[in-house]
Amino acid sequence: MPLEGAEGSGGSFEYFDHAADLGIRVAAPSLPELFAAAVRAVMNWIGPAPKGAELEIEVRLEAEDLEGLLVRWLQEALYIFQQRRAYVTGVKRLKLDGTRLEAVLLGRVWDEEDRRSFSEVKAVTYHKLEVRQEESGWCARIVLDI
Amino acid sequence: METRKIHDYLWEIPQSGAMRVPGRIYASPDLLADPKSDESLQQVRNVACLPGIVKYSLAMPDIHWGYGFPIGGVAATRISDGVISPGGVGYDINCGIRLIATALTYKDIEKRIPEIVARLYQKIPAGVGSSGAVKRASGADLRRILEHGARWAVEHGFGRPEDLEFTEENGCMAGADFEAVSERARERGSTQVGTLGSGNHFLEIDVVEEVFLPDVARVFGLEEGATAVFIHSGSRGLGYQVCDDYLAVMGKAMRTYGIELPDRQLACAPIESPEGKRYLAAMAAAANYAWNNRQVIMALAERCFLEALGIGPAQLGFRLVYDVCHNIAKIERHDVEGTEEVLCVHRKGATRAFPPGSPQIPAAYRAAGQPVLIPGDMGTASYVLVGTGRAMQETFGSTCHGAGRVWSRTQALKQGKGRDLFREMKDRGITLMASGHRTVAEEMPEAYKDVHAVVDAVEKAGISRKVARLRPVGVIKG
Repeated sequence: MPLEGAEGSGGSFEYFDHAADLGIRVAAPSLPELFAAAVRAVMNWIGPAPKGAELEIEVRLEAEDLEGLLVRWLQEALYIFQQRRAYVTGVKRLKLDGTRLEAVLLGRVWDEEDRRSFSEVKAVTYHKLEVRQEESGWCARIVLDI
Repeated sequence: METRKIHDYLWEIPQSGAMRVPGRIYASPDLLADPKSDESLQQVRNVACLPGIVKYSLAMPDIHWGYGFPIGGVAATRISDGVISPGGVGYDINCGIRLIATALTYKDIEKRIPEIVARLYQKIPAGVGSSGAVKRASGADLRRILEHGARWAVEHGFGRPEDLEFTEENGCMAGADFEAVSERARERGSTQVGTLGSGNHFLEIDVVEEVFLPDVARVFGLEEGATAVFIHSGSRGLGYQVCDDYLAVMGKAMRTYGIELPDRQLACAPIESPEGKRYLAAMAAAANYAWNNRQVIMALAERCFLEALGIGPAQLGFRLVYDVCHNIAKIERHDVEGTEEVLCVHRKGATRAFPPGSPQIPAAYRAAGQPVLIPGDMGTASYVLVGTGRAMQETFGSTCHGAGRVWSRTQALKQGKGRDLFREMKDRGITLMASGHRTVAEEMPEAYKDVHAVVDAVEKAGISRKVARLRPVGVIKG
């Protein structure tokens, strides 16, 4: 059954220690908000949002399962960051249908000056990956390779 | 977790449950991580569950918690019935290091180091999202880079033909296939040719501070007091994408082949399966990309030295000592209980360390053994070791790769608050330039295990011997 949402303020994230890498725990009332919060967590680690030109980017993804979809979603944000030189600042629209996702991301272009404040995230791993529904909503755990 | 001491520098995790072989960890007691906060030993156990694994799931003294495989992990699987696991190579395929010797003593250029570092920082593309010295590699160029490795760089005026002999696999792994690398991976690679990267990647100027084995050091061309250069980098976004692509492929393949493992990051497929073969071909292509990058960066570094010092190439004497990878899977022949077998050796944060007489190492080094290059943290020391016969017998010819982290990034950032790390490095006699200030905090020396202790452990375990210790005097980071 498709779930629709936009960026809500209903999601939160925190980082947890992982020797060479970085762990993220995310929680949100709904699944779309969970996905939005997860991408905020990744971008927040990379650095502060730049002030360059705004743009919208359409994204369509699918995966084998929900956890895999979350990984693909975050990998897409990293790809957009590197190749399009756009920092994802928000999620305008996000539709989840089983293991398919359609979204419109909001972003800002970054430049050479912005680069000095950025820290690299190489990849999103499957290590300790978890997406779980609880009474209060949804939570996820992801480890990033940095 | 139960561990059994084999000797002072070797511990065993007995085989139990789903483990197919025991685990073996090379470390001194001090170096063994506290299992409560570091799951690296559990990861050694998980790797021991890989189908077709032979002898032991191994870990080197720089072991720390990775994802799937521990960093510092070595595992060999039989070609005939074993698996290949992209997680056993890592996202940064052929993250590796090369060492360049020069004809200059440190005393010759001590006062000029800040100037050389400034020029290196200006000319060598580094840092998050940096684009390449080669602006955008064409499709034809990228195909040649992926299938011919560092040879592309030499053909385009970056370095010399003789550099290839002093690179592991001669700078090009056989079997690389451009078609096995996804469109997206190629796109990411096209803009990053000749880039250093970020995080723990670096280019470093060092002085050879102490020589332990003068005969071997002489063969390698290392003299006390000489200036040398280390380059540490990998396959950049192309490699990360290849790993990600094939983790997804392998995740599906595991269901086809009925493989179950404790960690999804250990996703794998039989080596002889279409998925396994295709990954190996893509991995080789990414490895070639990394070797090409290090070759380009070396040539750019040489130009920086020449321009800064106003001298010619003969006077500088920039010469590649060796280049090793420490995130890779290799098809190698090894003795397994008295029979020679063809194995797939995964080295994830571990270095090949072949002994004297190995045909795979340059003829000039064959009597001495393979150079092993061990970077420490940016403020301490780096080492050159040499491989041994004991490594060949016990660890599939493998040894450690570096210092290994003890602090997480968040811990390091907390500790770095309010500190002027550039000043601290300067006080240690090191000129540091970095584009990412946070990266410097994350990479502070205290965040790493003591490289001296790691190297002592592999020497006392007999799997490598110390040849020389080098001290950093200038560092550029992304």
